[in-house]
Amino acid sequence: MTRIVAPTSTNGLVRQKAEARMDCLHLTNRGARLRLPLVESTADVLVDALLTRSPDDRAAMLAATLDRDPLLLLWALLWVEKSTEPSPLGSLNLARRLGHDLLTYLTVGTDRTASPEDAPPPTARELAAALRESWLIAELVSELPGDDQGTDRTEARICGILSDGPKWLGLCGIEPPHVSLLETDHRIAQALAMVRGDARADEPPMVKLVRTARRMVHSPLDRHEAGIAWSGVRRRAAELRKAWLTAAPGAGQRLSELVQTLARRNELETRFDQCLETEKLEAMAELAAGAGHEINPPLAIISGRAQLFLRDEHDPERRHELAAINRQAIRVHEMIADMMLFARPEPPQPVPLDVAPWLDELATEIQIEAETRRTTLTLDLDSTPLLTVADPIQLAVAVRAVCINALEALGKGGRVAISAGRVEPQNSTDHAPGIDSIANPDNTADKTQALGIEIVIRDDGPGIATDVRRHLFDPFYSGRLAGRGLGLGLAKCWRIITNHGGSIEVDSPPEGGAVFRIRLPTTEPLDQNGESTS
Amino acid sequence: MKTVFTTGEAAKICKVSQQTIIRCFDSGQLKGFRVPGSRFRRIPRDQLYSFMRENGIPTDGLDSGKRKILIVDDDEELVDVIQDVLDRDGRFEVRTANNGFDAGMMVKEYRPDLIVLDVMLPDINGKEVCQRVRSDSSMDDVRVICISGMVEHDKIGELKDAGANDFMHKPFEVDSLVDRICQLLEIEAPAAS
Repeated sequence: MTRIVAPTSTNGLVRQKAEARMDCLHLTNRGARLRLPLVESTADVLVDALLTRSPDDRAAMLAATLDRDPLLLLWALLWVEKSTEPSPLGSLNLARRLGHDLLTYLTVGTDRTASPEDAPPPTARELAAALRESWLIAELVSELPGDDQGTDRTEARICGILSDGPKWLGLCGIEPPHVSLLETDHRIAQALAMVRGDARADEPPMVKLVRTARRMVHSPLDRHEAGIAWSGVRRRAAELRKAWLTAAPGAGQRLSELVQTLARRNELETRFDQCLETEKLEAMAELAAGAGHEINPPLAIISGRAQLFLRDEHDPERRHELAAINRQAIRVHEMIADMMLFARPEPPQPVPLDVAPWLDELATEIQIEAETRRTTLTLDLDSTPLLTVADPIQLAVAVRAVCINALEALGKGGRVAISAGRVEPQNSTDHAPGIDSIANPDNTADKTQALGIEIVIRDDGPGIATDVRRHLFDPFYSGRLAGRGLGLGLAKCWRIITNHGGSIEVDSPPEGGAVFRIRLPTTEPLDQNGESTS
Repeated sequence: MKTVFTTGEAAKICKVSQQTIIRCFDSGQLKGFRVPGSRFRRIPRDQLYSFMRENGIPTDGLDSGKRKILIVDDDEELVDVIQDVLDRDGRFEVRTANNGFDAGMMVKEYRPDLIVLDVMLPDINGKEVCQRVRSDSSMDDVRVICISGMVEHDKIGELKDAGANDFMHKPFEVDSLVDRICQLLEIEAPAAS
């Protein structure tokens, strides 16, 4: 029996998307959907099955339910049929109709005032009876014009299956009732008599429906009239079904709870990464604050004493050494300050800025450092004004960090070329192949800019390996890189640029060295909420 | 603080007669100037100070002319560094305190012109010290420079609101510290050595 349903297969029940309707379970398989009205106990079992990890346990739970719930069984049969059926649409429609009408029919005999859990699910025998009666409706349906090519043929097939219902039940391991039982069972016989007999005022509504349906089957209506009559039957069946659903409100409650839980979990999972990132930065900021508070005073003493000695020292070598002490103390201080700048940057105070003269001034300053290393520094600017809106001091810190990184990578000699120019309107897919981009996370650059400006810093020092490039701006990357990226300068730079709504990318071209591209929007940068900071 | 004295004032400070002062002025022993367009004599403070020193007159009646600095920091070695810097300049008189309580007592007693104040003290934080200094109107002229190992940009604003005049990070350029002090006290920055 479980062989047929095969719940362990990956496109079985438990992989399907469950929709939160209280009354029915929609299940999708290979693009077709089957809709199964649920009794509450079955819904609960399906919930447990969805939450169970072990496929064997799942199979056992489903097998037990198939024994108890004939509707599930019917659905399972149709599902198997449908999944082997080349054109599932026809059998799908039929299965849906059968599901509705069958359920309605099955409740006709029960007392409406009893609570749903009291009413026992129909037995296999009753199911067999229902199948026989439904065949009438199926037959009628097959007479109607279908809306796609294969419908008639497919539905006829399904009808054939249903008329052989007992045989199928046998295949499922349910002992099929003897055909003759259908004639001799007292209740069934009574129902059939009602349907075949004359109409009575107090008869259950479904009986009326079946009677009507039978009449339609046996009277020579043409297709059009049959269609109208059938839609009346269906409408009435829908009303009955609705009545049943309101009488049994608990079905699928747990299922909808499960769906909500899963939706919430998905939401939490996506938010988790963001929260983790924020918490990491906060932790880093706290560490930097604490470390700074403890480490900076001793540095002040070291640096202060070195400076005082330097004032009175005339020997050039000693002066050089004292200057080194001072410089190194300042360097330690800057490492911690950079950590803080990265983790908790000051909000930028942007002003309209013409990058060209500003970059010229900055290059002159860096030139001094370059000269001590005998490195050539060049500056190449577009002649047009390069306007952006940025905090000039913070931006200088960022660009300086990249330049110093280049100078330190070169050691002595070599070339650093700074250039700046306009950039064409960019979209997020517009990256040259081979560039590993650390694009800004909230993509404000794409939202705001019509045109951007670009500052490029190129050096002919050692290149940067691909896996290193990905982590170059990441202060949490613990694989310390030889030659480039010591300290937090690049991370600080990344933070400043992204706070301005820009982006920074790094590439190692085939000819060697490294290329850093800083892009800035020409309109106001947006803050984290996407609001203008002005 | 008075930077120019009349002969009468000078006499009182030196505990001599006004005539003595006038005589010394006229003979050139005590340097000064005449108010332009009149015959009134005026004596600049540092000239008076030098005169008193040269003649062995006790100078307690006149401030030395040095600005009074109070350094408040619990790190004694750092206090030593700052004190050394200021001593070497020569224009400052320095006292120190290691905690907020001592600082409070010394401010009242010593009446400094400027306080170099560490923001994190063992007993009280620098912000409160600022507030208390500012709450006493007799100390409106006292300048406060806060120093700290790590203070974030928003906290700097808070300190300035509490009454700090300036802020410096540790470590610092020794020359910058002196420059800032001079700026706040409105005296000339030292010539480059």
